[in-house]
Amino acid sequence: MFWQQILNGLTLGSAYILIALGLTMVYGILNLLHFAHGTVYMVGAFSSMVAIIYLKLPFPLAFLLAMVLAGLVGILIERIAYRPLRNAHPINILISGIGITIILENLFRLFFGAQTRPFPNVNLSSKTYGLGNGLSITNFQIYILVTAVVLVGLLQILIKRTKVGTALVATSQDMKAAKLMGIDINRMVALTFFLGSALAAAAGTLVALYFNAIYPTMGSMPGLKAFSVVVLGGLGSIPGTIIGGLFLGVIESLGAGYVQTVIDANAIAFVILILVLLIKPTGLFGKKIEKV
Amino acid sequence: MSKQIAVKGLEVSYGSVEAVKGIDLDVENGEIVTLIGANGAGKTSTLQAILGLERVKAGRVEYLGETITNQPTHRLVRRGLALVPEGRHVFPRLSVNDNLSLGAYTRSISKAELQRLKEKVFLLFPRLLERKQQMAGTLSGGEQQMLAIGRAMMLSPKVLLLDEPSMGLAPIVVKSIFQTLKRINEEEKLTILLVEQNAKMALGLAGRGYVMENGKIVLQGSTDILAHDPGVMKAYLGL
Amino acid sequence: MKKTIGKRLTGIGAICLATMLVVAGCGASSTTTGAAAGGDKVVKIGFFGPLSGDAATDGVHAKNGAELAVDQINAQGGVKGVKLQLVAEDDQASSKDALNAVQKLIEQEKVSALVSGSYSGPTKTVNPIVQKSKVPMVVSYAVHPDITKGGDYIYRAIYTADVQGDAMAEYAQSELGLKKFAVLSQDNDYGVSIQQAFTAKVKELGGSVPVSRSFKSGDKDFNPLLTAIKGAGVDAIYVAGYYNEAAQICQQAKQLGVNVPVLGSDGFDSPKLIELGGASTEGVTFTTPFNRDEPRDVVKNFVKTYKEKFKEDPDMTAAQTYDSVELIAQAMKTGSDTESIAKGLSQTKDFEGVTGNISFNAQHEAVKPVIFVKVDQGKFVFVKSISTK
Repeated sequence: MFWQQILNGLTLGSAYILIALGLTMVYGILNLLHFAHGTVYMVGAFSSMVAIIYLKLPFPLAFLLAMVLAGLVGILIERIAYRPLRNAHPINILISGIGITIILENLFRLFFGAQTRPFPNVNLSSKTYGLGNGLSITNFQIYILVTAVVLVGLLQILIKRTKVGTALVATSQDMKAAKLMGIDINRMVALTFFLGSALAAAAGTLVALYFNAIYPTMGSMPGLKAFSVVVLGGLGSIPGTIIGGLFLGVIESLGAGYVQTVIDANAIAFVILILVLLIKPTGLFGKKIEKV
Repeated sequence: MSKQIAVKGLEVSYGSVEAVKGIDLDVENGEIVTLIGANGAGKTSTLQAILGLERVKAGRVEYLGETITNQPTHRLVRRGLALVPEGRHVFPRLSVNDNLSLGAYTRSISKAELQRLKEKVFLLFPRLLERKQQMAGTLSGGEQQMLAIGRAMMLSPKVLLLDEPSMGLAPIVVKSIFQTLKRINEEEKLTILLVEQNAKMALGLAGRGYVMENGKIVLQGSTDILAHDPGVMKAYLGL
Repeated sequence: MKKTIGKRLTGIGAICLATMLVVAGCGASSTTTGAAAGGDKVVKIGFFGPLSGDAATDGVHAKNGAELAVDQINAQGGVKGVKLQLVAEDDQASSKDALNAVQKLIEQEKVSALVSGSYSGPTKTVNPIVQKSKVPMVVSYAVHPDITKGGDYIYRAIYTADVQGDAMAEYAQSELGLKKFAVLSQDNDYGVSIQQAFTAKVKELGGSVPVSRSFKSGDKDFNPLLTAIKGAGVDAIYVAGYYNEAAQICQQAKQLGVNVPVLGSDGFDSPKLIELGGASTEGVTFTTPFNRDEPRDVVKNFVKTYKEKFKEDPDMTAAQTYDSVELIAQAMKTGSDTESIAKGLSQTKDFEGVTGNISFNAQHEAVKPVIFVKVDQGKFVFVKSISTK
């Protein structure tokens, strides 16, 4: 059963990665803890649902539309909640993020109700494939794994191989110098929020499909877990986030599978978070602090 | 000769602290002008205000005859204003080559043209060619300063603003960099506004100069006259 | 140094805004239904339950049941001319909010009786102030044994955790012939008390429980738990929990290829179980107090009028809360002050509710049948009913 738990953990970890990348990118560029990121994950799942039920879109199109919509919501959150506070104390920004979370969750509760709804029927029934030795994988797990690999790959190409990607990296390394290169910082920030939010929406949709459940507070726990992943991987480090996400997913699965009720699976993430903060505050792949 | 940059009654403040208290300054086409003064005199604030990095509280900044007060930095850069900032600000975890490419970020030019511009920079600073694939953060201070200037040159700027390029560098390195600036000015007819604490070097390079104290211009004129002014000699040249 | 006063003010503004939102988000508002203040004598009945949050489905359905009962009683002229008025408070299934809600209902609204439409945790928490204030309360569907203890004012319209835990253990072993069980229980008073009763009874009857794990409300990923269960080779999985998580467990068990029967507690009894769990819930058997197919008139009338008013089928929480209000109305026949209602409740015997014939025993617990229901072709189907002591 060990390998089954590892496989479960990798699936879970892939979803964590998709959520956490947005947080890490935002932190990298603005040194800002984007507390409302978990809600964007929820917005993504609801957008897919609305696109399927009311716009009658096929699943792949609804999925893409949800990524775009959530991306725009991400840009909007930055404009409303963060930009006016860009030079304010980090606590103010954190509180602003919490405020946005509460507004959005309540707004969705108002429109859609607090109850858990099933994911709309998209003619994707769950199939289980045996891999021998009692090991099995479902088609939904495959979707999550493949989507994570594809999206992370595309993100890497964008960052490493395109001019705008280089500008994004430059902005995260030195915002003042980036301005002096003629880079429009606000556009880079908007782009970062767009990309991060779109990835979170992809995760939200796939997890909603996998668990057949959509509800307004669905983003809060994954949002907090993503924070642990980001701290674990070293704030602002994309490779660190990827490793951190997989690590947390696997540890959680193994913990829940083998440790008898001593510790709750959800708590594992936060125990790890505290340990990292105590032992290696820069995370597994944290960059050294270069200047004060 | 036409004015490339004209500053009129410029004021900058941080909260209740006034850093620049209404100064006038201009830079004409093709000349090297220096702005000298002690630490905290308001020199850097003046440069940052011209480039839109600090908010202008009162007064006006003109560039090529047009008012550009408080325009966003990235737009001014697009129009050919380059600043080599204090502390160099190279991108530490990008290669020398990528740093140079970013210098031409706003320009829509072909790969060949980009390559030609880089080669020009390597001619000015051969050390950068040797370090082309190295991360900029691993360069020495002098090399980083060369990279910062070279990166600014990638813009083919109309005016080059430099903020304390000599800071923290060995005298021999400073000398070589100032020689290169002279060469750029002569060969490219590039207009330069140089902010410096190292008054001796700056007055040696520039044609005209301004002396700034406590947010005000206290003296201006040709560098020959400034270098022989008793006050300047005592305060800045240690004579 | 670059922080300007203006920016600082924006920051303070943001804090104020955020604080206001937090307050607005958490602030509970009460809703009132039933008789308006008119010429009639009106008695207020306080209701609390999770009207928002994760457990909102249960709380809203419970409130619906209570509302329907109040409307029907008032339409028939009230209880001896006294009309009922329902004052509902939201507790978000949290003990802290339940305490505030009950305090408000007793002190400000001056209700004559209370109905708990909430879970075991919150209901257990309000026990001391309810007993102390001497306001009679009927607990609709919270099953923790301690809820009715410590005084004479709290009655429970549902049997306790051990009754349904015992019943399922006996049914599974003697009638279904299952011996080895994996138990998954919700990590709260409800889940733990049922799990303990079930496990004890299974062992008493010679069966075994090699795997027993708990999970949290809102958990979605049961793969690790089910993978462990798969390795243990059990005859069945017993889930002491609610429909949201139960639906996930059914679904993920099928996906992982854990093909053993799933048995459950009355927390399964909601149409949401089938909606969320889909085909994977087929064959699931659980205990419940409510048999929606029963041919008795009260049941038929309840199902019909509920459907008309709320456009959906009633579930267990609606039926239980409907009965709770009816029990209070019944008790009011001897007087509508708190003491008379409490006394009336203590004398309840063979009251015909929609969840069976209810009597309260000396411990203020309802004595009524346990019903077994099975999911068959996407519908809840009555299997059997057993009477309890």
